[in-house]
Formats: sequence, structure tokens, C-alpha cells
Amino acid sequence: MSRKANYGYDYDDDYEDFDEYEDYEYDDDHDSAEQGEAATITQETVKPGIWSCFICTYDNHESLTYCEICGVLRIPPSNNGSNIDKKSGGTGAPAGFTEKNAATTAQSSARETDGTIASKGGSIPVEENSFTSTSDVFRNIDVVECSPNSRRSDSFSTRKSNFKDNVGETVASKGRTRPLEEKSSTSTSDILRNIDVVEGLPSSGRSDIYSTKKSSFKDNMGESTSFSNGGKLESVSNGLENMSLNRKPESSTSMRPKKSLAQYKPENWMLPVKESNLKTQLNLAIVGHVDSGKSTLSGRLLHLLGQISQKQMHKFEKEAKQQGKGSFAYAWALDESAEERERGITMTVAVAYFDTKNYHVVVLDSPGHKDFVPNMISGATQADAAVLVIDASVGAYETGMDSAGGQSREHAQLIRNFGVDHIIVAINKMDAVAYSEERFDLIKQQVGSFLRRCGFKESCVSWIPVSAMQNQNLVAPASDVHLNSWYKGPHLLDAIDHLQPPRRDYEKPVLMPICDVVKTHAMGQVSVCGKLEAGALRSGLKVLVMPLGDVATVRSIECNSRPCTIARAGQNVAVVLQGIDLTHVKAGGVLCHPDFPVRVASHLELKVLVLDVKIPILIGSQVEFHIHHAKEAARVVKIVSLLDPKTGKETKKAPRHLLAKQSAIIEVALQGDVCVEDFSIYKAIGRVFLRQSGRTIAVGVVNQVLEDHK
Amino acid sequence: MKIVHRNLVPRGPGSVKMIPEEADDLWAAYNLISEDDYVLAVTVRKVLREVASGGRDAERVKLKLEIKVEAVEYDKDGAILRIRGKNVLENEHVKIGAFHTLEIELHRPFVLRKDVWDSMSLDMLHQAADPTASADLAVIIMQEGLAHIMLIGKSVTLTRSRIEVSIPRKHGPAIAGYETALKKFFENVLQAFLKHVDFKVVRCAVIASPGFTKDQFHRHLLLEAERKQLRSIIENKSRIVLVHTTSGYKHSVREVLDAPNVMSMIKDTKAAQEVRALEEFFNMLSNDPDRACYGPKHVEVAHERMAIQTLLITDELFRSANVMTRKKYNKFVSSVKASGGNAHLFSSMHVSGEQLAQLTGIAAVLRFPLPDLDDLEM
Repeated sequence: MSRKANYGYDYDDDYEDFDEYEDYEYDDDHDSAEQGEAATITQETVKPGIWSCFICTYDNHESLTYCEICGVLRIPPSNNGSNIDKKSGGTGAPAGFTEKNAATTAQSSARETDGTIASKGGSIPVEENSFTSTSDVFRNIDVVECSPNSRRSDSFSTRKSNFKDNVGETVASKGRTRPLEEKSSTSTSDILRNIDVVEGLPSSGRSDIYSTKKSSFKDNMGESTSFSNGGKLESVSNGLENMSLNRKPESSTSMRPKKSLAQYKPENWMLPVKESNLKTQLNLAIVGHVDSGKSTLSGRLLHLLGQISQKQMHKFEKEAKQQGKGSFAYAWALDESAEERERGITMTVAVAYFDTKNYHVVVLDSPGHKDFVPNMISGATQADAAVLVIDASVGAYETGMDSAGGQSREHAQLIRNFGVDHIIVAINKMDAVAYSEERFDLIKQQVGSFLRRCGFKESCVSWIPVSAMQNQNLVAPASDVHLNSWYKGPHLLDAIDHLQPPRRDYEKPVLMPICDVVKTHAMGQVSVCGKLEAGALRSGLKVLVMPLGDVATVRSIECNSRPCTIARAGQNVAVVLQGIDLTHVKAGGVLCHPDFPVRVASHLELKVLVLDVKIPILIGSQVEFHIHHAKEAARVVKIVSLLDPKTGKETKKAPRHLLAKQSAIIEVALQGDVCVEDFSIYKAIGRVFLRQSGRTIAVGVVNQVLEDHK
Repeated sequence: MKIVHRNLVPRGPGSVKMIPEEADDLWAAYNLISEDDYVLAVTVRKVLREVASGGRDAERVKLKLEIKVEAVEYDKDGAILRIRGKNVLENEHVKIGAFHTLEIELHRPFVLRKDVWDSMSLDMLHQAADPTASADLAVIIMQEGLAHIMLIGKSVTLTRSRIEVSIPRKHGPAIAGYETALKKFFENVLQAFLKHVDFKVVRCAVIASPGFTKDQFHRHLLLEAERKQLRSIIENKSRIVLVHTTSGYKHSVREVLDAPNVMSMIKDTKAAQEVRALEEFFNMLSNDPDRACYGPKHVEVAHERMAIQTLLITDELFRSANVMTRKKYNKFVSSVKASGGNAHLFSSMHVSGEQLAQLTGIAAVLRFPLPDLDDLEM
């Protein structure tokens, strides 16, 4: 079977080559095919520059005068060189003429396919001349796709739907199509012989077959078996000159041409069902200064919402007391490692789940300590919304907002650049200031003006006074009389529930930055965690694991520790991959669609906003570079220009250095490669953070990927 | 570097015989030897000989050759200096003018003859021979999942080992995976530490990291030493210093050298001086940008106006093959010194030197502000 697997890979490759020619036409073809009209014949099509050897039926490149395989001279010699790789415009041949050709093709192909069917022992009636070549080819495929016994209905559209069904039932069709693969290649050569017959005629008839075949295969794309099945046909029929059947899969992935996103068509299963009663997933980052009570707040929420059992809670309380840290009991629900518990601070982002009325919330409890901001960045970039926890107690609030190193500030700036628009400011430890309204208003006013400067809209910020320790205003309105007397707004859970649902890229090809890699005990399997940024995944799908470019198969998907069949954009999932080495999967990598690999580069042009820095950014400045879950050492190689912060226009070329609050375009060179894409194409993997000596010095986006690594 | 004998006239011709004793010395030699100098050393050469029967016989012959230098190459990892040039010493096996490549290794004496020993090269020689200037620090700079083990000498920072392990994050029950991964990572670092850090050579070992990784590792190190009876660690417990840095990347070594407890130990070494000079430059740049400049053109203009207080320059510029540029920078440095300024020659093998190299390799802190420098095209 290994040979077959090879076919599959090859097919992938060639398939795209073909697609490059055909991309524009595809839509049209598809539509017209759906209508079941023979109109496809007059469609503008693209003819790849190939000719088929009449001895061995190998498809050679137009520029060759002899067959690459058997060495037979080409008859007739190439005289339509102008056709190479060019579109043969629909206007090129009069419609009538084309139709005639098509009819000829139909006849001959009918003859040929007849033979095929006979050899299969099928009982499908001989095609009539009145059929167009389109339907002919379709019939051919039909036979291959379904089973020899399947009844072909005369109406084209029904056949069409037949295909669709095939797409749906993966496993079923798999079993049936397998044994036919061999035959499919025979029938392919039959078609090719047809083409050979038409060889002398103007090319439109021929290209026609391509285009129709094309559209039919496109439909089958989703499933692997019929995929490779169809792929066999396709690869033989398009046969670009560099085709070789035993090329290694690795090389095929590296040589994979990149397609533009516009070409991508999501399949039906990928799009969410509108009326499904599933709750939307919301990735909620809990951020704030160290010791502001983020973990305790999260732990308390989980406990109140029944995610932590009473027994567990009791255990935490007992253990915390034993270590003399009674107040950390709730935080222990999230701070699981011994180190974290001992020191009483969160070090890495913890993930937990709870449900609200509208959302299925994924809590990303981030560390507040300034040494762990890198962990916070790599763990919480996937946030859709955030809760900024601010310590209201005297002194603690002030240090948190201190411009020299307050993490309340830094976190707010970071999450803004994660792409978070909506933020809930939970002013915690209100009990420490006796639920004073003045304190609340003071903080609200100061933090509010800061958040505005960060770029948060006033309408997207909500303010909630809470006390995690005393359980005030978390999941139910406050019970404290003093707080009740002046605060009438929603409680925290309510506020979370009323966040705007985030927009998702369901229509784009699948993309998932790898946040974490977990070794599974089963052999040859790797489990990766992360948030699906675009597209959808389901088991059986092939994905490309960047930056190394290995292909792996999705074996199963887990969503909040429960297996699920389909994962769509926005969901936080664990994906079990098969057929890949553990060492080839790294946190900071990206899972993507095999046809749409993300770029891997180490030289980028960024558009950045410099934060409050003491030391200006110079050419040669060494920084730590963070992008999605990856981090890498980098240096600034060039400061291209200074931008006006309001208009975004260039104000100065090649400045010597960048000072605080300036925005600029800079070039950075990274020490290693990262998966990256222009911000304009993929927002999720186009946001960057530059850090230096423990502080975030600039945030920005990828303006341009300057050099691709092959 | 051990100077065996010297026979030279300052600013005149002369020769020096020396023995490189550590990797640092090779680097010094690399900077010292420039094109058109003469190097005499013992070497091995394959010699072809006609045999009576008409065939040819190859034989390796040990001989002494003096060559006129055409190119010098420094191999950091192999600790070898390769000097290519034409033979000038008459020899029964090798003709005059035949090409030969000398390989200078540690503990192999060689004689360097120069037509002109300028002040820069004399300085370099002096520094290379001064044993107190060496820092000899072992630095383990780490963060969770990434560690570098570096040896910092007088003028060379050698990265001996880089350990990268992917550590899963905590995930409910999978927390055990995190802990085992971390343990494995520490074990790897420990092995590398034992292999590369020799307490006979280094003054102290610094463990640096953000967060608590350093404490965790330190604890692990001592526990393991106790368990496995690693004498070298147990005996030198007091020479292990912990320093806080902001990342585990190589460029954070600067923070290590800057840390007060390390600084006090290596105060008068070259590496520490470089770090301080660079720090001063950056501080000036942020506080008073008009009083700091970088780039050859800007610095030159600043010097014309006698504005340079401290000059920072990497040895890379002196190494340029072009004799004219070399002379130019030589003159530049001495004239800065003559006008009362300081000049720091940075080793490009140190982190600080690397950073300076990225700032075009030359920078200066000025006596008085020169705001119009900005308008000059770089």
C-alpha cells in the first residue's frame, strides 16, 4: 500500500500545479456543471502545455519533441507553441465549432469508456452520441467514484448530487473505491487516448475535458481516498513535466506552490450550522498585576460554577493551610505545579473551562509577575476577550499602574495587541478598601484614560467592583450592603455573558498555532493544543505541520477534555496527530492546510508602536521577539521610517533611533525561523511583541515577510 | 599568552615569540596578525618525492616555515588559527614562494614579525599577556526549556552548549508531564555543566535566569551533586552565584556582567569594562541623545569638532583586510586619545562587542551636544 500512499502525495502536488492554471475558471465550471448544462464546452478554459504520447500515453511538456518515457517522437510535431500555459480564450473558437469537436470527443470517448466498463464487468449502457464530452467524462468518473454497479442516472444534476453524497460519507465510499484505484488509472489512460484522438483538432475540445474533470474532482476534495483516486486521474491528465511517481512526500511539501487565499473554498461541514444549540466558545484571558488576585478570582468562579467539586476544594483549602497560605486555596485550583504553589504565584498560563448562558468560556489565567510576561504572551495570545483584574487596595493599585513596571499597564497594552477589543475591568479586593465608591471611581477614571490611550473604545470597557475572597458581585449581585448602596450594574458573570461574540474566520483554510505539545503514550501520536484561528478540523484530515512542513493526519480531536468530531475556528482544542515524529512538532509551530502553508521566515518588516521605553530602540538593538506562541531572539536591522501616529503617514526616513510612543516601520532579523504571515492576511499570526530587558518595548504587526525560507 | 622573547622597536620593525595558552590568546593572535606580517612556526607538510623506480612517494615532513601572511582564519570551536601565505624561508622541501597554511594551536609557539609595531598592536600584545584582565567566568543562562552554557574569557565569549527542550505547559492531570520534562531539562543542563565548567579555570559559575528557574536548577544541581558525590560541585558550592536576568537568550549575558555581585568579582576585567562603557553609551543615548552618536561618519565629524569623550570601537574594524582602513582607524584611536578622550576596544567575540558591531562597530559618547549630527546622511 505504500505505493498508493505515494500516489496520494503526488497527487496533492500535481493537483495544485494544475490548479494554478485553472483557478479562475474553476468557479465558472463548477456553477455550470451544477446546472447540468453542456455549456461548459464554451467556457473559457486553460490548457496546460502538455501532449500525450500515443504509445505510452505519458503526458509530456509542450516544449519536448519526444516522449520523456518511451522516447517516441511527437506526432504531429509541436506547432501550437503559443498554447503553452496560455488560456485558450472562449472567444478563440466559435461555439459551434467547439461543440462539434466536443461531439467528436464524446463519440470517441464513449467508445473508449465503453471498453473500460466492459472490462470491469459493469452493466452501464453505452453512451449516446448526443451526450457531450462533459457528461462522458463524468460518467467515467462516476463509475470510478461509486461502484461498478451503481446506476448512472441520465440527468446530470442527480449524478452531481451523487458525488456530493460521496463526499459526505467518507468511510463508506472509502471501502468501495479502494479496489478500483487500479482501474481508475486504466480509465484515465482511456480518456487520454481520447485526447490523443482529438490531438489533431483545435485544442478547445481537449481543454474542455480538463475543465470538467476539474470541477468534478474539486467536489471530492474533502475525502482522502477518493481524493487520491481522483488525483490519479488528474495527475495523469495534467502531467506537468516535473511529475515523477516516486517523488518523496517531503520534497513535494517543500516544493508546494503557495496559492492565494482567494482560491480557497470551504466545504460544507466546515461552516457552522446556524441553528445549532452549541454555545460559542469564548477565550477569556485573566490578566493584571502580580498578586491582584487573578488566580483566586478564576478559582472562585470555577468553584461557584460547579467546575470544582466540594471535595477538591476542601483538599485545596487543607493543603493551603498546611503551607500557611490559607488565602491561596482558590488559586490552587489553577496553580497546579509545586513550584507555583510554594511561591504563591502563577508562572504559566493555566487553562480552565466554565459555561455561562451564552458562552462556553475558556479561562486563560495568566501570570502577573513581570518575569513571566513571556509566558503570558505565549499562553494568552489566543484570547478573544479579557478580564483585567486590578487590585483596589491602597498601594497595590498604584504599583500596578506604575509606568516604570506596572503589569496592569503592560498587560493592558499586550492584550490590546492580541486583538482583544472587549475588556472587563474587575476591580478586585474591594473589601480591603471597605467597598468605597470614591476608590472605585478614582481607579475607573485613571485606568479608563489609560485604556483609551491603549486604543480600547469606551463602549467596549465595563467596570465591575468585585471581591474574590468574600465572593462579592461574582456570579450573583453583591450582598454587601455598602457595595449594594452605590453599585447597581451587572455582576462579573453577567458581564462576561454580555460580551460581544467574537468574529471567526470559518471561511479560511485551517490554521492553528500550536500552543503546547503533549506526548501521548500511544506510539506515533502527538497531541497538540491550541486555538483554531481559522477554518475547521475533523479527524482524518491531513494537515501540514509548520515550520518543518511535515504532513500529519488528524486522528482525534478533544475539546475541553471531551472528544469531539469537528472543531471550528475559535475553539480551544487538543488535536491528536498521527504519522509525525514528536520532535517535528514544536510549540510555536502552526498547523495549516496542506495547500495553504503559512510562511516561514526569519526576516520581517514590522509596523510597531513603541511603548514607554527608557532606552531608545536603535539599529542593532537586541530584542526578544514574540509572535503567537513562538518566541525568538531578534535584532533590529533597519529602521525604515517613522510614522505619524494619527495618520499613519511617513514623516521621516531612516531615523537614528526610536523613542517612546513613536510608531515606525522597522526590519528585524530573527535568530531562528518562525511561522508568520502578513497581518493583512492572517491577523492571528501577524501580531508581534518586542521585549527587551524584561519589558515590552514595542507592539506591532507584520507588515511584510521579507524573505521566505525554503 | 606567554611571551617567550621580544625584540622590537615601538613604531618600528621587530619580532615577538609567543605561546598561546587559552582560546582567548588565539583570538588575540588573530587580531594581532595582519596581512603582510611574517609568521614563523613549526608545521607539517606533505612532501612529494620522486622515487628511483619512477613512482612518487608522499611523505609528511615536520619543518619550520616562515610565511608572509595573506589570510588569517579563526576557528572558534576548534580553537585553531589558520594562517595562509607564501613561504619566505629557504628549505630543502619547500620552495620560496610556495603556498602554505600554518595551523596555530594552543601551546604551539610561533614568532610574529611585523614591519611596524604600532601602538594598537603593542596594546593588544600587552593586554594578551596580562593574566589579571581575564574574567574567566562560566555562565549558565537559562529559561524554562532553553539554556546556554558560556565561558567568558578576556576577549572571547564561547558558547559551549545550547540546550533546548520543549516543556509542556500545565494542563490539569498532565502536570506530571511538565514536571518530568523540567527534570529532564535540568538533567541535560547539569550534564553539560559538568562537561564544560572546570572550576580550576573559572573564577566562578553564574546561574542566571528570569523567574525561579535559576533557583530550581541550583537546588537540583546541589541535590544531584550530593547524590552522585560530584566533588567538583560540592567543593565549589560557594563559587556558584545566582543572578536574575530577563531572558534566557544569549544577549542577556550583558545583564549577568552588569549584576552587582558578579561585577564586584570581575570589576577590572576587560569584559566588565566593555559592558560598562556600552551601558554608558546607551544611557546617554536615552537621556541626552545629542551627546551620543554612532556610525563612522557621525563619529568622524564629532571627532573633527573634538567632541569625543569616550570612543567605542570593535576590533573587527582593525581586522579589515584593507591596510588603509586599518591605518585610518589606528590613527583615529590614537588621535582621540591624544585629545584627552578614552578609547575602548571591544572584542567582537563578547556580547557587548556583538552589540556594538550591530551599531556599525563604532560609537562615541560626546563631551557636548551636537544636535546637527542628525541631519547628516549616514
